[in-house]
Amino acid sequence: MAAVATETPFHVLAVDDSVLDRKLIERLLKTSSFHVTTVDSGSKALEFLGLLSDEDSPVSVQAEQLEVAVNLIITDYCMPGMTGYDLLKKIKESSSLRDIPVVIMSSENIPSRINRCLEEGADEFFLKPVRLSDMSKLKPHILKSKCKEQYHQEQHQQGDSKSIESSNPTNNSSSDSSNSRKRKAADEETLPQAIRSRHS
Amino acid sequence: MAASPVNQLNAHISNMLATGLLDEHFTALRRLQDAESPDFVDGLVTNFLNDGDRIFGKLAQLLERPFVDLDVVSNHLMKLKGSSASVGARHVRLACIQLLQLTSQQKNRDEWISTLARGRAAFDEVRREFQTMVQLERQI
Repeated sequence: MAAVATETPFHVLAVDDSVLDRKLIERLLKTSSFHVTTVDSGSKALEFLGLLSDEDSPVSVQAEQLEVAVNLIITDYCMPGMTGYDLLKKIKESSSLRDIPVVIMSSENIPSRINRCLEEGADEFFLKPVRLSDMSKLKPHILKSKCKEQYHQEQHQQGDSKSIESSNPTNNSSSDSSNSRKRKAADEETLPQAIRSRHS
Repeated sequence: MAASPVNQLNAHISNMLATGLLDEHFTALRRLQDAESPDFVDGLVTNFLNDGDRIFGKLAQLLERPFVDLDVVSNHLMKLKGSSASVGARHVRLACIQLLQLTSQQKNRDEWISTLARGRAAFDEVRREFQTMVQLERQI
């Protein structure tokens, strides 16, 4: 039998105050081959992501300092204290976290709510109860964000050295790199301005 | 010939689906269960039954008060509606929707109490049927 290179599974952080819904989303994600961490509140999510708040001024931690990288965040909208929308805003305000795709889940089909979330930068909105078929919508968002990450890396490397080196993707899905290069051209206008230093 | 335990279980669940006690979300949950997570469905059912017991109890208490805080009532109903939707408990979900509709109408206490009683009865029914399901599972 030929050896198959196994990819590291993508890691999803799931946020929901309902224990029933946490169990459900965990099972759905694991069945779809994701590695999962579940938390029961927005503040615990931020803690896990390394975004600590010192009174009113949040101190963001560099993404690479996270113990485990998070490739996507999926959160319930209606939660006591910090809502999913509040969490989304905090993530998008953080320079180290804002490129992580965020998916919002809600049991209410309220167009103004959906639009508000999408405008704030949510990548997807799932109506609860979430189904297995919804899980197939997650990977494209992760791959798109990795494509942007790779573009930033290459920009940074080209800025440093005169010789043109081909940079190997350090993470998953090397088979997708040919597709990601095609998508780069289309994505160029939408890439964020800040080019952060990543790995050396 | 006596039906095998597996057939009895499947017949029982088919009946719950046919009577509208459960919907296709329950079927989807069963499909998610596998050897790695053999207690997945029972775990969710337990969570749902705990939520229902707790919330119907709280609603009864809230409706006994001279002033009923409809915001608190709504929050409880939304939570139970969510749990019942996630587990596929259709009748209970519909009962929650009915009760939520009352919050936006000028209804008197009697109407609340009778609608709540119907919701409670729907919950008690699905609880009995779920308990039978668990007993049948144990025979396998």
